[in-house]
Amino acid sequence: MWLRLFLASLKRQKLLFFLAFLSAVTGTAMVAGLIGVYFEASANVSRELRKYGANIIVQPASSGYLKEEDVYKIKTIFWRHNIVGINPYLYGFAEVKPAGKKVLVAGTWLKKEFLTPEGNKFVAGLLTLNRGARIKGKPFEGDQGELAVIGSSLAFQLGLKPGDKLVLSSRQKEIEVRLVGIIEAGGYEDEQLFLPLKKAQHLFGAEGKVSNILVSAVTVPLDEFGRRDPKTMTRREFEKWYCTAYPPAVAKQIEEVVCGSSARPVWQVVETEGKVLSKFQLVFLTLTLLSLLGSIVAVASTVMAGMMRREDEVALLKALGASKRWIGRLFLSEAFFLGLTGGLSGYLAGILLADSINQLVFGTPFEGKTSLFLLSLVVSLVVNFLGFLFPLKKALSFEPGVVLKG
Amino acid sequence: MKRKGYLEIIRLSKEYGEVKALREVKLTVPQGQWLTVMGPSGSGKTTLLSLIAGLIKPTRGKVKIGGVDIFSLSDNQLLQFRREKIGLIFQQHHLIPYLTALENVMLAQFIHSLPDEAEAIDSLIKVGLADKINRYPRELSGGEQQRVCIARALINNPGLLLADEPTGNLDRKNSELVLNLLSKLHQESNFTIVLVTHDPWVARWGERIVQLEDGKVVDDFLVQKSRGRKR
Ligand SMILES: Nc1ncnc2c1ncn2[C@@H]1O[C@H](COP(=O)(O)OP(=O)(O)OP(=O)(O)O)[C@@H](O)[C@H]1O
Ligand SMILES: [Mg+2]
Repeated sequence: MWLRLFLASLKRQKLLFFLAFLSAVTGTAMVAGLIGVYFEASANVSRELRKYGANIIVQPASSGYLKEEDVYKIKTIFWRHNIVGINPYLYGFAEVKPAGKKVLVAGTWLKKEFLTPEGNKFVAGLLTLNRGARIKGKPFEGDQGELAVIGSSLAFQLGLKPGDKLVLSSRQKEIEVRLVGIIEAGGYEDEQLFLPLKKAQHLFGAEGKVSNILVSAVTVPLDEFGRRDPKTMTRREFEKWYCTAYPPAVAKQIEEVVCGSSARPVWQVVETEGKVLSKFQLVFLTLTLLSLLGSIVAVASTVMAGMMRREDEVALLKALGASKRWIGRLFLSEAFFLGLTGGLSGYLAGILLADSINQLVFGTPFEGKTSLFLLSLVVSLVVNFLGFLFPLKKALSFEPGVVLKG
Repeated sequence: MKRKGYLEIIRLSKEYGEVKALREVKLTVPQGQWLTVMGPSGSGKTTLLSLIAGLIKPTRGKVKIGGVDIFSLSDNQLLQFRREKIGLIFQQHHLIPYLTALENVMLAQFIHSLPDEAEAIDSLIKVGLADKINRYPRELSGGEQQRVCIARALINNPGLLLADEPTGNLDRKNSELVLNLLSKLHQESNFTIVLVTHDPWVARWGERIVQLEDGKVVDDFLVQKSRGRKR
């Protein structure tokens, strides 16, 4: 009976329902599209930002060194997929001959590929951590070989160029390397001489050791909760904090796998990025709320128009003894139906929208997700229920007395 | 004739702002009586009926049906009371246009409790619409529509049937059909009827006539059986 009543009412008001349906679909598509793009885009934006330097630095907790073997373990933490760059350093001073000057030598990876325990290929090193760095000549790969790359300012001071042979001597050893490139990174790197990590360890007699590790991790902006001191948290709070990609949470996880280390966010970088991301989020949220509001108003006015024409019908139902609840259920089931169909169509339209925006801005396709589908359903249901609220209130206020008026 | 009243109207007044539509109306209707309320236009007939149905609230006074003071009930109790005890027939047929005759009757069952298709079909057969149960209101004549309304009003076995100008839109032939039908059903089930009309011809079907003028009862008498009741 319910169904019959409902289908019959639907059939009679085809046009109105179609209009309400369209408003719901448009609204849902906008919201689903925006939210879809939003998640994709904030990840993309923060990944973009993460291409230009580390945001977490790992150092020995007390004096001494970290173990090189622990560097690889950073790709095993909870947020391992958010780790997009790793770069270990071993620092020491060595005399450059024939120039006869002491320079800062950094043993590192410029570009080093390794397999994570999960079997994924990962490329670490300065060049992936800092995409802004430029090399004249060519970089060394891996961590072996008699090759070196020199910072641009240092090269200028010493009058060195690619192809030159250098002799480096530390207190422990003396080695010979060939200069293959000049690096320009725009920072303190430009004052250093870079050696493959293993070579530097050999030079300084520090086999298997590193001085610090720079890490670039995709993180979420810090909020009130993220800033709290984990030591003051309850167990559940801590779990939630730990499983959110806040910079300090990721740092904490790194600390746990790197023996004897202290890992901390590079606050300056983190704060700046957080601000950029928050602004971006605000814009999206505002847009989303506005389209939500717009579609609620659209549904409400369409349904309201229909309701005014149904005054007789509602009055009759009341005269026959239908309660407010009964009438409410009747109209809300219409809202529910519109919500479901609108949500489904809105989701499909939303994916198309998100896809075209994504293609345009990031050049990547957008993939529909179950979560987004559910979200569309919820959005559409909310839009329709809220859209039906005012008309329903109006309907409930109709007086049954009018049925007796000729 | 001091029978205990099934319907008791006690000093009932209704004012619409300045307009006094009803002034202290007193009326007692025994169980099973067919009462006809007559009066000129604007005399308060519809107002009286709406009050008895609990569709509007009085300014003063009480309506008791089967001993229950209906305006002392909560809104929901009143709705339930109306669902169970009162059948309504209007001048305008007030069928839901997008439901068939059968579905319109079943709607009343549905609001009351659960639809029972067999019972609904039965009731339409009783009002002589056996071959038209699946028609939409627009496919029925005025008299046929009014008969659907009668079936709907009586489907939940109300104790009190209220009818406001039930034949107001019908010609003599159809009016007669509808009134004879009501009369037959009334004799079968013995519910109480309050029927409003300004047409003396219609009043002949009832047992008692109350004359309203300017919101007051000005006359109240029994109909001579020999004179009116048709079968
Ligand atoms: N909702 C209302 N607001 C204001 N005045 C009303 C309202 N309903 C009825 N009235 C007034 O109350 C008086 C009685 O009206 P009512 O409808 O009861 O008359 P009636 O006897 O049914 O007339 P008719 O034979 O024309 O149907 C009239 O003067 C009418 O104008
Ligand atoms: Mg009237």
